[in-house]
Amino acid sequence: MDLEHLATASGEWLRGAGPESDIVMSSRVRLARNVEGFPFLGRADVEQRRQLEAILRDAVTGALADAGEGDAGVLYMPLEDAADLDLRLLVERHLISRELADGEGARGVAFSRSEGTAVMVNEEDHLRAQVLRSGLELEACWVDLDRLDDAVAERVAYAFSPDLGYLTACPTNVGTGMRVSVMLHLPGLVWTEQIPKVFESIRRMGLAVRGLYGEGTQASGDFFQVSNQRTLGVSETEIIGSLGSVVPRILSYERRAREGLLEKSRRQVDDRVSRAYGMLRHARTISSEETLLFLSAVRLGVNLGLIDDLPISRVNELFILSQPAHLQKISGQVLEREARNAARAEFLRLRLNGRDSAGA
Amino acid sequence: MNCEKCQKKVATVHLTEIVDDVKREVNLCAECAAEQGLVVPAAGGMEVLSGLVGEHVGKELAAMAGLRCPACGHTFLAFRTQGRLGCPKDYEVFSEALTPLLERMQGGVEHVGKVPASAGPAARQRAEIVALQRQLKLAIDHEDFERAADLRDRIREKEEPVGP
Repeated sequence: MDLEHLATASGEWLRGAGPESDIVMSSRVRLARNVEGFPFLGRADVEQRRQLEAILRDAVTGALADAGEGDAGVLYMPLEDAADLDLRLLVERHLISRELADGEGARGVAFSRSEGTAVMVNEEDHLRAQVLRSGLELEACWVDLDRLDDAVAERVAYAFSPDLGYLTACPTNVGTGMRVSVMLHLPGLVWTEQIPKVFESIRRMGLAVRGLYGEGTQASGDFFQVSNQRTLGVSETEIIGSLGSVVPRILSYERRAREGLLEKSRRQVDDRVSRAYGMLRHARTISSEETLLFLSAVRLGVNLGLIDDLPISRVNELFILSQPAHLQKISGQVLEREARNAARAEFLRLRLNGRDSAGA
Repeated sequence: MNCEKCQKKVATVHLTEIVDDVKREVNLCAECAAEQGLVVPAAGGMEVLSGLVGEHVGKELAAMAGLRCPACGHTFLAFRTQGRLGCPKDYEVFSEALTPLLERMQGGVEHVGKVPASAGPAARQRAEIVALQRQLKLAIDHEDFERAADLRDRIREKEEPVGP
């Protein structure tokens, strides 16, 4: 399958709409499921993996079509022989995990053209289905995912026990198999050095905080992912409710921090935002770390009204499109680090100086 | 849960430390635990696990280390070192050893969420009863006895066996 079209456009969940989207970049709900009668993947042999992939490929594409995505809107991509660059591209877009990209054997991913729904086959569990939406929309994510899950369950029998719920390869997912997360942009709390305090209270409430790309990654830029830890002994709606009660509190801390910044140090904040914007518009070579930092400042600037000639959707998609695999796809060649930094600077200049209308 | 030290591998060593009456949970992967001298890396797998389990979880669990799932061949020891189970059946086979782990990790040991249609009417009914029992507990906690009485009646109705 050709992924070129992915490299130049971005998923709907980045459009920057939805409730609280000045702080909540996206909401995500995922379910872990396994097929009855098969071992988990760590114990599955090559043939069993192949069978699972064949069964789930049909079940998932059928279910996605039933769940309203329509035949034309569903893509299934087998990943066993996929090019490394394509795998990285899918990771950068949050359509697959690093674990699936780095995995072996028969595996794949099905996703809707809008990229709001993605189902990984043969990751840590046989199935990992996710729904992603722009802004704070956890209930809506769950409604869609619940329906998709029912549609898959009509086609395959899940490994389920009345006592322990959905049985998963790792006991940290058993029960509901559900992980609910929100991606938060918290520059106000980072700039005012209140992050450790806020994280401590989030963790005390039984939630986890991680960096941009989930498990095991350091928080990058000013983006943080907050998610539930418990999956057993709590219902799906209770899990959503626990985030639903904590996230608004974090949002109010962040808003207060932003207001404080504007009141007490407006000039410094404006300067920091404007310098970042200047760098992105004029640099001749720029690393992905720098880009992330500057884009974060620019995003804050747009949301504070300090920058008024840039739609938030464009800023959001630059976070995705300026990543290494995307740049290489766009330029149509493999680029070493130095060449990539130059290509990134050129891409950002084009997108931010109004000379390119492609992403408008 | 990932290792607190390297943040990369799955934490398979869960230790509760009490220093000056202050309780602290430490979750590490096998390698980082070994680095800190919590596990003897050179010892055979069984000894490592027996030592670990015997010391921190309770001697009776040491016997579990050798448990092997008849369906997939996975051992409890393999689970403790890799952090992953071999097949759905492992949850039953290792149940005695897994339950305390689940209690600590999850805070609960009974599923109260969604039930797939394939699980059959009995499982669905059971899920409904569990959900009502949770609401009943909440109602009693909030001293809403009218609601509690109503919920108790509904639970009794549900507990009647499913008709022919």
